[in-house]
Amino acid sequence: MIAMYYQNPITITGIDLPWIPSMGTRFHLSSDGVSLLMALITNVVVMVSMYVTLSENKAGQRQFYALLLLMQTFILGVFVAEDMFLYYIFWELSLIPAYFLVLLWGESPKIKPITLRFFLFTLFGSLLMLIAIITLGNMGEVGNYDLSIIEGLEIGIPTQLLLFVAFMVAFGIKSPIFPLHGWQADTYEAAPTSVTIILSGVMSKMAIYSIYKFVLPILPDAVNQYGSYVVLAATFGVFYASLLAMVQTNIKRMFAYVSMAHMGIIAAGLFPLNSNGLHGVMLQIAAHAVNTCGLFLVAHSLYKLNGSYDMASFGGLRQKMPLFAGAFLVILFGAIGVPFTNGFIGEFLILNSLYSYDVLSAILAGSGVILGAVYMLNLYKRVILGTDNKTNYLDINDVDKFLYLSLVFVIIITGVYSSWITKLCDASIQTILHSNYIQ
Amino acid sequence: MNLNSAQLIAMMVPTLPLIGFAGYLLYGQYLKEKSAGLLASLWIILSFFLTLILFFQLNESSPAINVHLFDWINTDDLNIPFEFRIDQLSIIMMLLITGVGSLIHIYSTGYMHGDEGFSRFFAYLNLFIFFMLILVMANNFVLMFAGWEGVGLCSYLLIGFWYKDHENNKAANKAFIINRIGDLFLLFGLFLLYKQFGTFIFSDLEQNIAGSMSSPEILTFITLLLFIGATGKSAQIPLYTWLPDAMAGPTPVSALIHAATMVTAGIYLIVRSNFLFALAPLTNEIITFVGLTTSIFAGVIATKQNDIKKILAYSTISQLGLMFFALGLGAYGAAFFHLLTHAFFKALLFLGAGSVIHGLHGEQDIRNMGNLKKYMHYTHLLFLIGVLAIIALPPFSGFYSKDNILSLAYIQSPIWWIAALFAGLLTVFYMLRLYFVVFWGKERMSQDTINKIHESPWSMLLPLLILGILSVFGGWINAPELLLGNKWLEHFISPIVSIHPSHLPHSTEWILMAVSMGSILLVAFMTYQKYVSKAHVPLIESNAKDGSFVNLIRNKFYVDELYESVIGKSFLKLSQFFNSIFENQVVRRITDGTGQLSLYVSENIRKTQNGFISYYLFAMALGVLGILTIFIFFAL
Amino acid sequence: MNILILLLIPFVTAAALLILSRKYTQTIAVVSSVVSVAVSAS
Repeated sequence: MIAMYYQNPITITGIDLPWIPSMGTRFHLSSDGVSLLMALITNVVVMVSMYVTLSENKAGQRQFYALLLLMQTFILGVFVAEDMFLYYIFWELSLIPAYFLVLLWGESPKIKPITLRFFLFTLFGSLLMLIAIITLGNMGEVGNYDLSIIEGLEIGIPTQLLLFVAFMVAFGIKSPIFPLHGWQADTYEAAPTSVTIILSGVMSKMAIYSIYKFVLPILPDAVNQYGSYVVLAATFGVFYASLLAMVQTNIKRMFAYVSMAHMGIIAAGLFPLNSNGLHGVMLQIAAHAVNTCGLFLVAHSLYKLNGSYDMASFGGLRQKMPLFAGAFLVILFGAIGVPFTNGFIGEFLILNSLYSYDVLSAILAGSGVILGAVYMLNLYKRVILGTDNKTNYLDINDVDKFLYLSLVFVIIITGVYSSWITKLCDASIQTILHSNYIQ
Repeated sequence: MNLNSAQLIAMMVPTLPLIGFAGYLLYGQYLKEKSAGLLASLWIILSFFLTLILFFQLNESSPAINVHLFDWINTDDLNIPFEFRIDQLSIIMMLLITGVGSLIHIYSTGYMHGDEGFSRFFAYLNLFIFFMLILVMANNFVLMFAGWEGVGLCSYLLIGFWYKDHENNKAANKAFIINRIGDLFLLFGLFLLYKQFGTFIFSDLEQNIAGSMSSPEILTFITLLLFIGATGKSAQIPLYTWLPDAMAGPTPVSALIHAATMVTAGIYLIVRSNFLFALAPLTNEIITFVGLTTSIFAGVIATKQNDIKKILAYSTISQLGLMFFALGLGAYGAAFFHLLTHAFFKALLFLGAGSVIHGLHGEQDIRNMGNLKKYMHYTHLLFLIGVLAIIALPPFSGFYSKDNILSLAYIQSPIWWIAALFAGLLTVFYMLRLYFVVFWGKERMSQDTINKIHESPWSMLLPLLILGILSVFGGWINAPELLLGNKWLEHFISPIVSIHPSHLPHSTEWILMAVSMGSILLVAFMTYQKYVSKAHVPLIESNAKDGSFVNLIRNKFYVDELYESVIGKSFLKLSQFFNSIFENQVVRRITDGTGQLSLYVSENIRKTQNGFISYYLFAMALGVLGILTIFIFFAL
Repeated sequence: MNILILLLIPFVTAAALLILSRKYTQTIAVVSSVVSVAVSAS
């Protein structure tokens, strides 16, 4: 669809049908460049996730895959829904398979309390969002949830602020933004890796996409006035999560915090409200999806070696597994944003626009650049470099090789040629900016 | 993308090393050692000849060759092209990079002979040359930054090349992280630059700045940020500590990256953006001061080091400090000239040291050497040339470039002149100490080692010879009128850096030269007395009962320890606080508190679940499927 | 092309897995995910 969209945007059609007339909600799906990008990311991440499950023979495989696919459906729904009520339904539905996937196939003995916390906390955010959406839907001509109509509403500033808080709590939990990340590290660590990949690769982006798609156009005054607090929280989260990542010994848990640090930068990039920042967000979303897949895939490959995510149980893998070490290195450099990898351009654009927006936030976000190098290189040193201790592992097999090489390829190509993403998203970004923020 | 022949050649210059790197990934495992080394060297040599062709097309008045390849970053506010700009400044750097690069590739085929990572080594070297070329060829700051970080990356890979030893990996990490700290400052400097002037492209910036009325404070701030970035890459105070540790890498790497090319990137950055720095007098004073301090500080440390490569590393820091000193004085041409001569003789010295280490099978401690002139004639002779060049004796190249800086310092203030001369005399002392202890005196190696000492193969001696010739004659490219030259280099780069007018009367210049020559010879004689006539050998660490100051020097003023305990520890403490206290006490409570709330709300909903999950799912799926089917029916 | 197709591919596959098939689960799921990627990229 993306290729078609390039040639002619109107070849991609949506659907708009009455759904629950008494409420005024419609089954309205439509897409622009940004939603197509999100859809592509979702599908790619799900594909990688499927791949990860291939090597495991889980009990209840049928249900597992069905849930995974349902989750994919609902996430895609979130990205293309144009009716806010429908959007909410998809949002909630996507949580249900995630919950069961973590609960039933999780890898931790404490899986029940962890899943419950994940579910309840996310549900709390969703409830706030539901209230906000219902309020919005009943503001204009009664019961119309269509985005185009809600966008046209004149909302008073106090109301905007309340709605803004409700939305930001919901999205802050999902993303997560500091200090609403309490569910994240445990869940990412405990969930089966294939699910963690989807949670961090796509579900976290649902929040960013939603802020972009709904909060920015609907609540422009609140965004202008209070956005800087969110930016401060998000960028402090970058610093905070980076420091936490430095002291983790469990690789998967560490990657959870790495993911949070990156999401903080992405979330912060939304609020300077300029073209550089928003393009940076889109680039970074795409980059983070790929890199996070890569990182958790690395964790998965390590786990396959000796059934542990503990850093101390590895060392000197470089000798026996040069290919794996090389791929990991590229993924790592992508994650810390070295130029000519996909992580650089988005981070550069976001930091650049943050710098003009608020220097303190830019410094906090920038600390992630340095700390990222610290924790990643230390991890690499401990796991991959050094002398081989006792182990006699085989290097990644052909299927793994293909997957890793594809990731490496994408990381470098997107780092050198990024215009395919900026071109795709430009129309959508300009619409949002020009109709609300640039007079 | 229609390119004319010059543009095509310019494009090929960085492409060839990249092909070399990609080639290693594709077929590296099938190549034998010899062909892998030859092929890798060949790419760089070809690249060098292409650069030469370009060089002969440029004269001091020709316009820059611009090569636009594609748009790298493109939002509608900001367009950062992947575009090269080959002008008089970048062509000289390209010649340096590909020229010295070729020599070091050839040298490495001998030096790395038999190493199990032989072809990997060459792949990294190729990649380094690629990034270094990007750095100097970029027409905008962001692409330059890409090269800037890229060379840091290769430096990381090459310092930790022998990855089995965690000492090397630690040094590699340290280099990368400290460089990243500098990079972040540089990045912020660029952001501020963009905020003020709205572009990253050098030529546009130059115009915008000329036309704008921006306040000197902002320019000072921008240039300071850029300078801090430069201190990271070029190992100046306060970010110099990574360079001595970087000596953990193979010696050719130290010669190429940590002496001749990458560490001079900071100098290049400032020369390239001299149009900015010229407007920020305060920054220039700071640069002068930092450069001079670094130069003396590193020189002092070098006098008490015993590892042959560490001495050279501190010497590099010291010489780079001298270059920054000159930059701060506004003497961009002189600094750039010293950059070039330094690249020749420091590469020569490092490769000479490599030859010694190779001949002694890995020995690096000068206390375990001695009288090597008897065993390694050629290495000895060429190393001597390097030493004479670095201590600035005429007619060697170092003399021209250092004398140039000294006389310009004198114009500003005689105090600067004395201080810079003092830094130079420190160089004389520690370099001759190194030379005499290694090549003169008695053999202090074990008999077993003596029997195995061998002169290096021709593949290593040939690059040494060429660098030796350059170290002798390289100074002529910018010889002053006083010494029958015509300042060719400064005239050549005059489109980028305007010529620094020098107003010293000839008689004064002669006197200054005589004084500095006299003092150099005096220090040289004293050093000879101490290390040859009295055959003094530096003490072994455990016997060192010198005064506390000497110990302080020997321990490099404990700067590493200071950084480690102040910065490293406090971040670690903060991490642990966040991890064990804040996460549990605050974040967990937020999570559980709100979770309880929603639990309460959804209590009733939960009661309706009957526990059969698959049934539940099935019902849900069926329901949604039903709904969707109906809609599809309507939609299609 | 209608955007609904994107949603239908995984959804129908999921339904098929739950209702119809007890065999080739992995293959069906993986093929579906590959098709999804292809459709959204093409």
